[in-house]
Amino acid sequence: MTRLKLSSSTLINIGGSIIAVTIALLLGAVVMRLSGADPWAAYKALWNGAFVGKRSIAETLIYSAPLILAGLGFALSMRAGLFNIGIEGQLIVGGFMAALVGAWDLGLPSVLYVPLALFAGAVGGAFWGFIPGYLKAKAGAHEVITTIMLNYLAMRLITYLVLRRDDILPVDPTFVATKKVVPEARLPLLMPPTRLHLGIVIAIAAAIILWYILFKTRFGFNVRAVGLSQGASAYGGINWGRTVVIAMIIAGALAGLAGAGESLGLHGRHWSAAPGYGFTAIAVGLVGRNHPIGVIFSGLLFGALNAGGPAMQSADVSKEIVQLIQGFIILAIAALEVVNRFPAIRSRFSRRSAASKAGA
Amino acid sequence: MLTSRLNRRQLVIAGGAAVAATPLLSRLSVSAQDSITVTMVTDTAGIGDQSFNDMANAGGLRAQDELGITFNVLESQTAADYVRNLTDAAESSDMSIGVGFLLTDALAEVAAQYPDGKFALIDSVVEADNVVNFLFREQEGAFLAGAIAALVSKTGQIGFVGGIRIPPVMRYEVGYVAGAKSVNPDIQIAIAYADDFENPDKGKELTLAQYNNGADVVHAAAGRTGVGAFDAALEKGEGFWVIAADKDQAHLGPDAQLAAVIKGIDTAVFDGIKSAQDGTFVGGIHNLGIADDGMGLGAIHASIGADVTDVIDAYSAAIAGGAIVPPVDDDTLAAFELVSPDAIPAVEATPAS
Repeated sequence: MTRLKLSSSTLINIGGSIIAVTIALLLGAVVMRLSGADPWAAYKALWNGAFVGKRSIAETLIYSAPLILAGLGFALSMRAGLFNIGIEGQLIVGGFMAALVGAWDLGLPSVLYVPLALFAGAVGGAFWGFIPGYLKAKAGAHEVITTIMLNYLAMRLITYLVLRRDDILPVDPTFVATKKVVPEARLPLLMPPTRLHLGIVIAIAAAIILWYILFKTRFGFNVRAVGLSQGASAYGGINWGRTVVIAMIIAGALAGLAGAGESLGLHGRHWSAAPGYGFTAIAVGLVGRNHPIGVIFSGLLFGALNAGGPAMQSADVSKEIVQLIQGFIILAIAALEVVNRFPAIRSRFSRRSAASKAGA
Repeated sequence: MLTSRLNRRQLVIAGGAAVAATPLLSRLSVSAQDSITVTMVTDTAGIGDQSFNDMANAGGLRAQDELGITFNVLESQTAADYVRNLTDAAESSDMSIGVGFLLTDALAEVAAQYPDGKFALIDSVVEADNVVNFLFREQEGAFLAGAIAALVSKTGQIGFVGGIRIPPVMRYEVGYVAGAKSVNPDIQIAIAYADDFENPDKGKELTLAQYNNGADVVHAAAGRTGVGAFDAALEKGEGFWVIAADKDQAHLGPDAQLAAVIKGIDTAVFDGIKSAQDGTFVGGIHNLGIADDGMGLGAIHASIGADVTDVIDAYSAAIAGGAIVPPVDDDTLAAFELVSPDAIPAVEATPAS
């Protein structure tokens, strides 16, 4: 019986996400029509820009990789019951650390240098995730407040280091970035001449590993139990504080890897201007229903929107329309969630299912 | 006066082309026949920044009107879009233009992948045969800004608000200091940086702080952050001035703008496109200053009298003629010998007009 219930709720989740995306695309079309553009041509350009041709597919995968990794970080913290707005900060600290190690030119061969730089990125993100986790566990400090503060701290700190500390760090103030990562520390390219790098492989591997941890290990069970009910899990003998801290460390490490992939794979340096992927990651997690496999697909969806977005400009549609569609997706998900959460509303929307429930 | 020198620069470009373009003639003559497609890629500030992206766009639109070319713009959302957009541009057009220092890496990468494409880069340098680079001697315009600030200031205190101290902004700063000290060696100059090009609130805050400490003229070289300087001046009211950078911004506060340093980005973009259209395109570096119509001080407020503008014109002519060489960084600023308004060297009128 439980198995049946689980699969039906999974179906509802997938269906809900698809409905939300459809609603968002329709609303986007309405806005484009109202602003005098041709929605059909725009969506065709979006599709072509994201999926038609080797380079477009490569670009979709490139944009998806950091969103999947950061989305996994958000999903894991959400599973542990924490609303981690700090993915952005964890991502840029990770990207910065990885780029620093990569730009230092340690004279290592690629086989060692790439894993070392990736590891530095994961450690940086993990540290930035550990702080709010620890504050939550020890002092009860609300993670929304602490992670927002840590986001600002990360941005300002990195800007300061990049602009003023070129005396001790491999940074380049004239670019407001780190120095170039040496070729031995760059992620290998998968499909030359496109710039597709190893990041997408790391992202999908991380998703599968996280799925295994969450659903096949005792720690994963603890995380989910803690997220469902702090009281009940404590009563069941689970150490809440420890579980929350470890979950935040892993979440931060995932976000840090997302940043590391960007600086080691895509840009070859860490730019102090933040791309905002940490915030899109929240949407990626929500649309993927905080399930690692779901996050892969929602990450690919948002990656495709980002990759195809610039192409829409050739159909005389502003680049902002893509962000508008992403906003609509989040709104639609939230609206469906409200319908799901409140039985009174749900019963009004689907009398039949309410009636069958009452009969059973 | 600014426009009269345009012809001379075109001659310079054409002259260079005649020497270097010969081996390319067969290919170029084909593209010179019909109207070409040009795609410009902005940085993340994008169209509407009231600053250099808008100016570059104006140059492209002018080329579309006057040369009949097809002009497209691709705006960038994040730094990840630069390579993507430039590659799309190179695939779909005859010439691709990167606007701004931040596109340097990306343009180098894409230009190497498309050796047959033509590229232009504003405010930075990629050394390749298929890239034409436009740099500006910001320090020359900023020198005039510093001079007019010192001439107009009643308190003997002026200010400078910068975006991020990247090389073009640094040239603004040191040029401004050199100009102001030339007029009044005892002047006090407050210098502040927002570390951000996209934050008008911070620009306003920094400008207000300088006004409240006694400055009455502030030069803002800060992209969209500089828009906040106008808010500050409008809040303080009469007697508080802003000198805009890159572009005339009088629409933000007609009676708050003392003057504007005009950077000829629009002309550079137009000339770059024109060279691709008429087949004279050649890679290289153009370093544009007052003498090339690439820089200047314009939009001087109507209340400023001839006693001030005559001094500015004299400085301008001396810089154009090479008699004054404004500093470009901290070292050259320290070594710069001040030129007081009474001692501006006279320069023969340039024959170009």
